[in-house]
Amino acid sequence: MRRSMYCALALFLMIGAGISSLQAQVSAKAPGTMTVQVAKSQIRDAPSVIAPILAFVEYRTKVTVYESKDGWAKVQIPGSTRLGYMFLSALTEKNISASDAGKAASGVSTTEIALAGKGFSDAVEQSYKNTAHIDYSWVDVMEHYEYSPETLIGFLNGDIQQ
Amino acid sequence: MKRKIPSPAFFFLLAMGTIVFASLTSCLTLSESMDMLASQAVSQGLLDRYQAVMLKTAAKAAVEASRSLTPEEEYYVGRAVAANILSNYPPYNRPELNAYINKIGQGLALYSSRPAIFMGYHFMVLDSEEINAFASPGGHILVTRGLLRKVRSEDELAAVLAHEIAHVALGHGLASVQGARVTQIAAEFAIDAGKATGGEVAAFTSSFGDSISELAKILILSGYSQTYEFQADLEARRIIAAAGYDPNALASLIGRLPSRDEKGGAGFAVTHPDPSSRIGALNAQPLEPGKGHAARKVWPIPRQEKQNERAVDPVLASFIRVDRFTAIKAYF
Repeated sequence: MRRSMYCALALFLMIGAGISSLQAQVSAKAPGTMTVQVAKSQIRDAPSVIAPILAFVEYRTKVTVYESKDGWAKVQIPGSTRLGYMFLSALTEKNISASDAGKAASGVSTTEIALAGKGFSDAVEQSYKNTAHIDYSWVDVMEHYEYSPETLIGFLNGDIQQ
Repeated sequence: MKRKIPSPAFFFLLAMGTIVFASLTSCLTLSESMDMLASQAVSQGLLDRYQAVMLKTAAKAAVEASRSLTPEEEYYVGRAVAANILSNYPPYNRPELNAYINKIGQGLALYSSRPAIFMGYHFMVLDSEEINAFASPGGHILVTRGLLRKVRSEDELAAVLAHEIAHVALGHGLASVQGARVTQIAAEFAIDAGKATGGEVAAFTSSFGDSISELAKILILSGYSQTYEFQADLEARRIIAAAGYDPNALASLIGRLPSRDEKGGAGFAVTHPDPSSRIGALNAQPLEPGKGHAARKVWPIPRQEKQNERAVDPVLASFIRVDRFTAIKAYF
């Protein structure tokens, strides 16, 4: 009985090690699929923050990455054959699947799907606000200060019009 | 009753077989592989049902323990931490000043190692005499008026903001909370939201609140580790240089900050290493050549844009920076 438990444990460790090494090999390959890890990101015509915007991609969208250099990834615009550039830091090789909508999509109500997509964090925030009596209003105010990269680069370069 | 135990070699072959199978089907998770394996083992009489359940539970725990926060969860943690700090320090509601520091800060973030984060970087001034600054893991950066008053130029202000941006970009916030606590909230965040009950949300809120308090306490009372502070200084100097500011501005500002032993040395003085050791660490590792102004090539201007580009005159730019800093300083 005890020996079988040891064997089971050894088995578990071997499989764990095997699968993680496989995952490591997969992530080492540069071209492939990556997942958008920011709420929203622009795909631009050239690797520059002031290049024209071709498309927007949202959180958890999978994109095909052809190459990456100097913090930029050359990607295929989803649903199109066109290529563009986006920040490499907006992408991850990890699969973002926690409490995702896909998991809840079978046989649950639309409310539950909505909850699964984004709502759990929201629900926790609401619950935390109420129980800990924390005021988020100034956090919301500060998040409203948002400038385009074009404005920011102009401002840093001393453009008085910005 | 004695059951025949297969040799370890058999287990090894079975494990290898499962790995090959998992790699062929490509999307099996460790937990799913273990489920499948455990069921097979039971049907072949290798394990009894109790052992199979134990194996599955262990696999699930291992998966949850290895799960880190998703970028979205990190952002929500950051919001909560920022809300906590803003309940300890009143905000300084001067839209002109907050717009100014957001333009500089968000501009600097473009030159950081992580220009894109979940909802971007946001900045706000706190109405406090204490010399202090905070960065939440979600990119919320708070700077006190006390610290602003120590700043003598836009370059030094950029250095302050870049230091905080560096903490966010390098992921220092969550790395400072005890590993177990992050693992716990990461695992609980993973509750299938479609099936989460009110009770589960309430239970999670409680451990979420504990983690937030711990993180806020680290930021307000103890600060990051010395290693993280030195890392943030080096990254801040690289960022400001790349953005066209004076890389020496960081050391000159640090030189005017109070040390731990000085009177009134709360806030920054307690949560940061001694100014002399920070300057020493910066001097020990000079800015690499090519990391200064030339780093602008990281954001090359595409050919078609170049025709419309107005040439940047560094002398004129520095005059404009001096002018606008002098004007905004009245709010500090």
